[in-house]
Amino acid sequence: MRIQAPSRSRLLRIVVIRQCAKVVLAVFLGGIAGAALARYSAGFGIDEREMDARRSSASIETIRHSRSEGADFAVFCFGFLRGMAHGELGYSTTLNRPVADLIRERIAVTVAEICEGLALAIVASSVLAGLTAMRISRVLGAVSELVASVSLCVPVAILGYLCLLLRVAPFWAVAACTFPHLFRYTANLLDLADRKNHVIAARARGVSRFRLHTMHRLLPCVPELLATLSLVVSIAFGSTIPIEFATETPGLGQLAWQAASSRDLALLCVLTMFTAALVLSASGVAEVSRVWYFGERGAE
Amino acid sequence: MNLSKSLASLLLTLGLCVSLRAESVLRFCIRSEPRTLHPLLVDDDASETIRYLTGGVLVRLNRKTQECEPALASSWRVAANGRQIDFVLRQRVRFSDGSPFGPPDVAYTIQQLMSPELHSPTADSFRTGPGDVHTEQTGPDSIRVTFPQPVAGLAALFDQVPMMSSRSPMKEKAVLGPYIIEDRKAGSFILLHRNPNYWERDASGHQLPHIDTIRLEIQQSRDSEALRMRRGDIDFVSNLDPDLFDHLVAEKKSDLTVNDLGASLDSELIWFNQTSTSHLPASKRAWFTDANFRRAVSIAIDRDEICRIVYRGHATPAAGPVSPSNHAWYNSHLDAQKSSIEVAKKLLASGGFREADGKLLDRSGNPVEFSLISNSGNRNHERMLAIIQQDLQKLGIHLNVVTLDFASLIERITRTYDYEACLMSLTNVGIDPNEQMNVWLSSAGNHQWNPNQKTPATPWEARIDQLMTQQAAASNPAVRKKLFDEVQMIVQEQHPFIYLVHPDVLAAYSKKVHNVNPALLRPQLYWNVDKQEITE
Amino acid sequence: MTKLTRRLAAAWLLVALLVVVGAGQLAPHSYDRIFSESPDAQPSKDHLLGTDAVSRDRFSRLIHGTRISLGFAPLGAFLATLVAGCIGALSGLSKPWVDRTLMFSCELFISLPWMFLLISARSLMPLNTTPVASVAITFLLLGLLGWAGPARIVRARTREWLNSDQYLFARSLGISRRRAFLIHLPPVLKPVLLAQFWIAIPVFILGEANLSLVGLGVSDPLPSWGALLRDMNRPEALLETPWIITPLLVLVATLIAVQTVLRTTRSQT
Repeated sequence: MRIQAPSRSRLLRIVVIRQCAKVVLAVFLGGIAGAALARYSAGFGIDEREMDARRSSASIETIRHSRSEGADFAVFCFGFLRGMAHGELGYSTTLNRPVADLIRERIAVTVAEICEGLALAIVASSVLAGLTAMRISRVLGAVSELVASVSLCVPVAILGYLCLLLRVAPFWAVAACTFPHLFRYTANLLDLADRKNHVIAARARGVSRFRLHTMHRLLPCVPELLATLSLVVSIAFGSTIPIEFATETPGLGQLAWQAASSRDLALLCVLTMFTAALVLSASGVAEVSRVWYFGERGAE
Repeated sequence: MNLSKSLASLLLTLGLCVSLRAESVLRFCIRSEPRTLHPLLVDDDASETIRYLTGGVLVRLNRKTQECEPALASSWRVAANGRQIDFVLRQRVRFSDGSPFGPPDVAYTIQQLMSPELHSPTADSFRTGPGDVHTEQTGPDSIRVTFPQPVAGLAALFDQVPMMSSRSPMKEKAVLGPYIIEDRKAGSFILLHRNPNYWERDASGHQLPHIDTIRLEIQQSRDSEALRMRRGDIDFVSNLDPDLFDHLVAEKKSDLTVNDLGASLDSELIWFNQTSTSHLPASKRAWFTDANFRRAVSIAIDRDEICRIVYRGHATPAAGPVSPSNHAWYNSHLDAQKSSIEVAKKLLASGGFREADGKLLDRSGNPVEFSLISNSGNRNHERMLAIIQQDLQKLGIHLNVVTLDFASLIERITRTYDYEACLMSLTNVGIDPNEQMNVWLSSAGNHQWNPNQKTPATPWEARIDQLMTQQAAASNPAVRKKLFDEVQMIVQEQHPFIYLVHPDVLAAYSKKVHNVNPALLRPQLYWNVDKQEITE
Repeated sequence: MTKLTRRLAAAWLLVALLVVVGAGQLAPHSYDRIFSESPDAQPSKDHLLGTDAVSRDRFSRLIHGTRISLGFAPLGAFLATLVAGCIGALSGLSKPWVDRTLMFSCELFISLPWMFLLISARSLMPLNTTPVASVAITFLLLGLLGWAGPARIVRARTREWLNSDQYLFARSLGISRRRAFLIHLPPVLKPVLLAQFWIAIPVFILGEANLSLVGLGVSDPLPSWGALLRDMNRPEALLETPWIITPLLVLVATLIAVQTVLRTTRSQT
């Protein structure tokens, strides 16, 4: 009997199914774990309206009752999951709105912010890494490296404040904090590609500098760049909380901050699920693109 | 034919002029998204702003004169020792959706307001005793409201009660105020448009309000709000931080008016935990329940330094619970305490405290040190803590400063009582002492230093209970003032709250907005918004 | 990278190290001393970087802040590396299903809102905890939360070693699996763990700075780089009082110096 290695397409199918299962499991566990963290954190069930001197004891009692949702954590989880099965995402007790509405209203802002920021970072990193790899100018290489280093060392919230000062949109801050990762990875890949046999052979054949760079160095790196990009998406999403906090952008990052400050169980549960899905999907895409490109070796 | 042509072209031109007239837009910021748009369930600043701009009330408190003025009620009369109020309503008033306003709407609003199922925070001010509230239509345009117990300052309380329509299918969305909600974008802005059916007209007969649209920008950070003001993106800022205020003054911008309106009604204060159920060590409980200790701490704190350094001179040292700006209730016989380390040391010595190696020791030789908690992220509080820490160091007291996020802080001071001393702000919306009943009554939950007492823990708390109950039941303003003056005296003597300062109201507004008449009471700049105008 | 750049980076780090060790002697004043006569003063002979809003000497606070940020970050980095080492190695050595479960936990761990743990720790600490102890606990917690990323790298290195000739050779010599793991694996992981430790230090410095900026890190009056950066949350203040940017410049310069030294070491090894 001969054991056959699975074909690439079958392997790809297996990896895709496995990654999807991981995402589903992560969404479920992440939601519960996120809600548990909020439920058992200090200050849960507290409402600042209790401090209003005009309120009577009965009124304060009503507020406390209204914030007691989730006091019995098992009941909350059961109710929440049952609601999810019916397509409901729960109700935000602090913002007094259905969670689905809150997410719907703000998701476009954050998605636009991330897309624009990433687009800018990709263009900037590809151009600068390319020019650096082509060794057109040493100064340009040094400046690009310095910009990447500085962007990596400035706290993300400060980048947000700088956006306010310079009157530019927050996606610039997203671009600034993802640029160093993309630039350095692209530069490294191009550097490695430079030592590969087909590049050396092409150079020996006298292929033009531009063609050598684009067709022989950059193009073969695309799958790996794609894998990196999917990981950078989670970095970009993580950065939206401090950026939207600093710039007061009405997106999911700001919503997450509000939910955390007010220990809003249902809202946090959904946002954690969203984050878990994003992080796991990003690493899933990376995994799939590796398998797609490298076959069995990529699966390891 | 020619005449008709000319007339047609004139009409067309006029029509074009009208349609091309730029809409006047007033812009200012609110701190957060409103929690509710139901006028009777308002309990946060943002919702309060929407209610003020959209709700029509029977009686309006003039924020400048602090007197009640007719609004939807052309006149009123309080009777039966404050238990009953008769309103005569204006005629031909309509809600924003066109439905008429009359006594049934007032009755409906009162019934909704006092409904136990609604849990309206506004209703708490009217509930002075058990029993139901009755309404009775006494004429085609008049109505009588009868309460089970006397309600002090009854007419002014109706300033917080927007009338709702009993007939409109739009329910609470049908309003009587100068503006209606036109559009909103979550977390970004709320757009209000002038109510076409608003009842009030100016002296020349033009319907109010003059300004077509109000755009409320949702902006949490005061720094960003001030930045937008400097850039001309907004027209009003009502509560500037002192350093931002000074920057605006120094800039001398020609298009801005910057005003320090004087001491606000709010106070910054400290209190010690005297709760009997807390797990404080016996020695600390003994210090905190000792009036001399509290007095010594109060005298050691340099309020003038706090005013000068933290508030850049834009605050007034506090003498007691009532700000000097509250002309009706301020006890002018009280003086803010001058800082004196010597006097504080003498007071401590009289209580058996002594100093050794720069440290203060109590009678049993325990070093005097305690923690002072406050909310993180409040720049002024963090600065005050630093100054207080240095002041108490002069007495040999080691102060451990702890800042917590707001939810954790409230949990400690209202649930677990696991704290030693707390620094907080007390916000006063109204001027009447009845609004502070839940602070002063020993049985109340907001009696912070020792809440929810079954019987008063000390004779002076029993006396405060008695005085507050008496003033709430009295109808004669002079008698009420006398009783509340005594409360203020007791508070200054016993120091359950150590009042530090009353921060000033620091406002800035664009010169293109006319008829702005800044007042100390909220909403300081737009309380007469229906009479304000904008020139571009 | 020029030799001069590397030397400059090393010199800068040496100065930073001196500041950490001798902050008490180098700072002209205590970090909490209030010079009440001069709030928000401009730089002068007495106050090299002026004073802050409560009239404390900014230069002294920067020196003490450097000690806090640079002194405690290695603590968090050490803990994170230790946990990452244990979990990464365990994952790499275990059966595929354990490996997959542990790596899945890593990814899940990264996506959870651990901010609550920081809030709770801070609020559950006894109120008489000294500010320094409270900072140490914050960094330790950051350390406990920062293992997931490095663990994946440790796991990859462990798997690589398991598939290497070195391991096969050792096994063929009759060395037991247990002995191979206990004796041969640690030297293999040592360079990876050391690299992760050094990489984690800037990560924790930045983490603390970000937390302090949103009010969850080091709190007043104790200074740290993050706490000092809070003055920058009024953006236009940068134009009026540009010297308040100094803590940011020191932070960026130090982190770039760490990166430079790290890359030099990596390229040499």
